[in-house]
Amino acid sequence: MVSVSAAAVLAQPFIWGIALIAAATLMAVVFVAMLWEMRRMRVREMRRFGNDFVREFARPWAHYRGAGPLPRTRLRISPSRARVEILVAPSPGRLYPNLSDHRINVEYDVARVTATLQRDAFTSGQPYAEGEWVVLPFHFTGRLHKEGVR
Amino acid sequence: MNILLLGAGGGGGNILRSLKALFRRDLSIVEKADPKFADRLRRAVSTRFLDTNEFSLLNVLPEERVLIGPTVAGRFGSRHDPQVGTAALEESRSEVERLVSRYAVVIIVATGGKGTGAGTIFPLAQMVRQQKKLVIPIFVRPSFEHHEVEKLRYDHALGITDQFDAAQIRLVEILNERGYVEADPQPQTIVWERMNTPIARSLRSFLYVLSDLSQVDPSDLSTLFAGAGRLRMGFAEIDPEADREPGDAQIDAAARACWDESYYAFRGPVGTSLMCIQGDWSNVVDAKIKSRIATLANGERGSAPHYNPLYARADRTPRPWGVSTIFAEHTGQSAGLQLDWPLSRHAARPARRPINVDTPSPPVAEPPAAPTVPIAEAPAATPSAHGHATPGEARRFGTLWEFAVALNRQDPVALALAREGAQDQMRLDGVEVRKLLTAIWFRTVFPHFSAAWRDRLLDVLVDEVVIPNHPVKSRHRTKPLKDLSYAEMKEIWSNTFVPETLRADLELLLIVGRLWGDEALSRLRFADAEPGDRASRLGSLIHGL
Repeated sequence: MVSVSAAAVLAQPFIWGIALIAAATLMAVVFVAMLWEMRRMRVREMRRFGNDFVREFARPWAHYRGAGPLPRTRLRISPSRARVEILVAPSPGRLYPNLSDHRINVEYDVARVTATLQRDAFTSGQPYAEGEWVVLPFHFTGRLHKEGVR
Repeated sequence: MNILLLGAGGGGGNILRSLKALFRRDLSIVEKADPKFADRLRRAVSTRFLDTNEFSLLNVLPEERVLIGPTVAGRFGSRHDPQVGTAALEESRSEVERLVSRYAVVIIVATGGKGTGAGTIFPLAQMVRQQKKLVIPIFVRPSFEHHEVEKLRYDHALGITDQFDAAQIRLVEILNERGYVEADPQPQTIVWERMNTPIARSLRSFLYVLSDLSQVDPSDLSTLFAGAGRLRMGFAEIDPEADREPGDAQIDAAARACWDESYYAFRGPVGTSLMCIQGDWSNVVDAKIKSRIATLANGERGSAPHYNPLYARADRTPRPWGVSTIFAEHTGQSAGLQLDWPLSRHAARPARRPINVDTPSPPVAEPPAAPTVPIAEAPAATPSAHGHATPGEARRFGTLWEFAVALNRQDPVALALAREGAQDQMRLDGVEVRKLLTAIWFRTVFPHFSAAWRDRLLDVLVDEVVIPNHPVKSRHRTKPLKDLSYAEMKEIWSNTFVPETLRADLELLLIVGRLWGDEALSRLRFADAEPGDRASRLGSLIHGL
């Protein structure tokens, strides 16, 4: 009796329709969740890179006597464009970093920091000035890995 | 005591030239007031310019040139490459080692940022330290913000200071960046003079301290320069009106100027430091100067008081008067440096020293008793007039030195032992007795010893120390040292130039005469100078030059 009823229900076309819609919805939710997770991971990865870059960039000021106040820094992350921009500017009363007369030194510092960090997933673009800030753009080209998984 | 000022590379050479000019200017002022003292200062210092570029050495005196790495650098410089500078030094290592071995203190001046100075300052400092000499590196960190060098070179200069820290060698680090002040723009020459003047003036005071090590215990100097960290030098002139004491405002200004750290890389609290006061004024003024600087040292940092000053007093020195300081960063407890001070070498091998007494030289040597500012010691324990030494307690002092230090701290057990314990089993060493007798702080300790102890100390000195019987020129006659009376010795000490070879022995005899009386001098043992020693007069003369 029960099996007949189940077969009858399964024979109804709208049931399959509902199941299909549910599956599609579920897949869409999973897909969106995956996209969201990937975006979140990318942001985290880019932020981590940005923070590491800033820390290494500022190391001479932080570590050595009399090197003066740390340069000002900001991060601008655009996960959709896989782009992280590190903004650096001189602290009040100081001259570095700037591009007008220290471009070579800025490029040296970018090369120094990226060589130290060894994060091949990030490729640097041409630095440019934005008001008092020097913008150091980086493009994220690498694959994402979950924590602890290679 | 002789000091080598060694400029490494082009930048170091420029600074050394500037230091030399300032020092010479000071000497010319001193010369007007006291030519003998000026001559003594002049003789104490030698300058050498070390470089890989033969052309940059052309404008210094031939005897002051030290060309390194002629093969590696081809005599044309190190091409802004510190590695070439290092390789050049390696190529000429034996010559440079021979050079520094002739001096007790080596002050190396170099700038970071290019090749020779950046590549040689650290290996040079290591070389001097390995020879157990006192080394004071003065390293100038260039400014990249003001385009003295590129940042690549600047970062390399930072790496050099890391090497010093890792090797536990203290250095004076000068920041050229601090010379650029938007609010007070000045020509470069004035900025350089502002940077170099405290060094040149402190050097003058430091020479005084080093030329008379009885002022400050050498072991304290070894502590001052031990450990990692930075040093900074300060000088402030105090110019009171004739027959007037300096006013409080003058003293305050001097203390602040001395404390100024405008150009130095220096952080954290000040630890062991050296202060030398020069000026004919009262001890009240001295106390005010010390007090003001102590307030600045302990107060402004707002941290635990680690300031431990060593004081020296340069009496009867001509103007400019003032106060000079060498401050050391407190970077924790460090074992004192093992330095081969000439004093200890003389004490250990008195019979092997060259004798060079007949060399006619005009300058006068300061009497040992004139400057009498004791070194800073640990806080004194409460003295107990009733303390008694038991045999077990007496064994706490393994050596006479430990015993003397405890006495200086008014340790009750040591005081009791000094009063009653002359029969103690403590092993006494003649060389140690000699060394203690020439330490100024020991003069305050000596009265604590009982008559029996004093006899025992003298016996050890008589039995174990042999004094070279220098021929001494006095009143157009040459007499052996042992034939001089105490009064004659005092006269020679006060009124004639005493060569370095004789100085330590004559000082010892004067102290013995003062503490034990004339008759004690006749008990001391003398040995005739070896022929080989006489043959080295020329060498000794060159050494003095």
